[in-house]
Amino acid sequence: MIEVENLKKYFSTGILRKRHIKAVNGVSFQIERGGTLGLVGESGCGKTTMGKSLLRLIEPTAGKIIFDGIDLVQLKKKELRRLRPRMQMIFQDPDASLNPRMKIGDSIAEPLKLQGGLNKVEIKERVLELIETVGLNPEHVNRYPYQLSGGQNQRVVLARVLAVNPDFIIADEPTSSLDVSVQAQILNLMQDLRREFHLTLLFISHDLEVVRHMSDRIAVMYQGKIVEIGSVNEIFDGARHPYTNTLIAPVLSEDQLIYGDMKNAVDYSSGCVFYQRCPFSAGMCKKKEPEMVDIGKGHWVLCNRVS
Amino acid sequence: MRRIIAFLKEYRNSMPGLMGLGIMVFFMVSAIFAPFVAPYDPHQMYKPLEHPNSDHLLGTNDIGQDILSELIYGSRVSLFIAFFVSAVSCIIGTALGLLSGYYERMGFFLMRIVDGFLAIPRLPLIIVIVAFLRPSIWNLIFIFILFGWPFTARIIRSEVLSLRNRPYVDAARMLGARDFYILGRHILPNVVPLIIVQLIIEARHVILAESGLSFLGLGDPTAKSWGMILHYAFEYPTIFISEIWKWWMLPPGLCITFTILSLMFISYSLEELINPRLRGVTRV
Repeated sequence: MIEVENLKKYFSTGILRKRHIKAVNGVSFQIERGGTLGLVGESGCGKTTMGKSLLRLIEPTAGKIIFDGIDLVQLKKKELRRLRPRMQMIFQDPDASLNPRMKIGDSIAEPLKLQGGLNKVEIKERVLELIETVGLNPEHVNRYPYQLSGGQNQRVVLARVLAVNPDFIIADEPTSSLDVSVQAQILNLMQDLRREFHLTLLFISHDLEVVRHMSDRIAVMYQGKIVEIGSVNEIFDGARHPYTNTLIAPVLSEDQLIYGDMKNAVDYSSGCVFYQRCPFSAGMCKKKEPEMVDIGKGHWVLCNRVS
Repeated sequence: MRRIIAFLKEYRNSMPGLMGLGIMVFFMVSAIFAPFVAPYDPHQMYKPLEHPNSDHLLGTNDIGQDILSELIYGSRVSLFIAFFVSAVSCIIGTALGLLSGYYERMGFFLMRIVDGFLAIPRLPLIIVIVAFLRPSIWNLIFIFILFGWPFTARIIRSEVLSLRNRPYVDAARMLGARDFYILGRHILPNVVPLIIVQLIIEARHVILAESGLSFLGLGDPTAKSWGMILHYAFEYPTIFISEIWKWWMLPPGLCITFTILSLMFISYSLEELINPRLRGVTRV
């Protein structure tokens, strides 16, 4: 369904002395039709940047994004615009995802109007249908986003996304700004919708439990690189990368602790991205850049200790 | 619509805002209905230099024109120039501000032009240009617009820069919306409050500039604006020796002052309403 090859996004800063911040640094993965890939990593590791680059909301620096056989990176603006409704994104902050000056009904009707082909009555019917699908009341149509709760707004966003019948959805921490009780509702709703509409999903989160609940494969991201990718069971029961281990361990033993934060690690030029914080780092890790190794059952690890 | 009513309700709480609005309405009404309100034709000549009396409430000037009528017709000229200029320069400024905020490269070049305009002190340059051009109302209007739009463009652009990265703009893009649709539907409505404030600030500026230029003799000599009345009064040799300044110079000066004051009150209370951060801090 979607295949990403060596995707890169560098931001340059500085006028005289250019420095590159490698937000996404050579990421490759694929998601099968109907599958859900969960993407985890600490904040600032490039999850959101990668999600937006996939849809070219941010122009990627290099790489290939093949969606249903079409390379998105090569597409012209006009062709991209036509293809875009098939891919959708759900953002972190539901309140900011809706235009504050538009009524809920108008927000949901917007994609229908943009696509054309329906008259006013049909649009109205379809909006009510969608509103019911996501579990809202028809009376919400005439409300404004500030009159609804975060959870309700996220339902509205889901309805707007479903209005275009997408194949592929990127959900960028769709529940992280919601209450725990509401989180569960939204996640279950997403699960139901995914099954009902045969959606392919990229689910971005920093919450491992949420990702475990939602996905069938998990990718762990660190410093713009995917350090480990595999099925949910493989990752939770057979993680091989030290970073993944620290993420999933319920209680850390002394030798699993990692110190420092990512700021310390911005300026690496060669070697492993995780070198400075890795409890097992050996001399070679400083110089030798690890490569993705397949250890079976579609489980890949980026670590010098695994080979 | 409900938002507008709520807005008006909140506006009612602001005392200076209401005062400003009252003064503005007073001047507007007298400008629009000048032929009915004014007792005489301002160009008609009567006995010169009459003191205020029951026939001429504010007396007459050195060529015998009724000063009250001059004032009333003068509000027409002054307010017309002010609102016409601010409307046009806000339209131009908004359009260019939207484009330069949305398209980065275009914005870069446009903003260098704007920098140029902003770096030059406005009034002295206008004086120089007007001195070279033939003074007429349309020349003045042209120059005020020329120097008016960059401020609006800069302010609108900075707002657009933050609006275009909002998730709902990205969402609209993913729904397949064209750039101009996004600009018109998702960005423009959210800068309207800024445009309204800018409209009033610009009008204020133009009234002052027009009065100043007219006073210096650079206004349109055939148009009776408040500034021109002041100009002719000031040219009269014994204006300050006798008492006549009290009804010849003071009233147009007060008209200008009160108009500016009302516009300031309105824009301050609007700004306070629109910018929640200022709420309760500057309330007078």
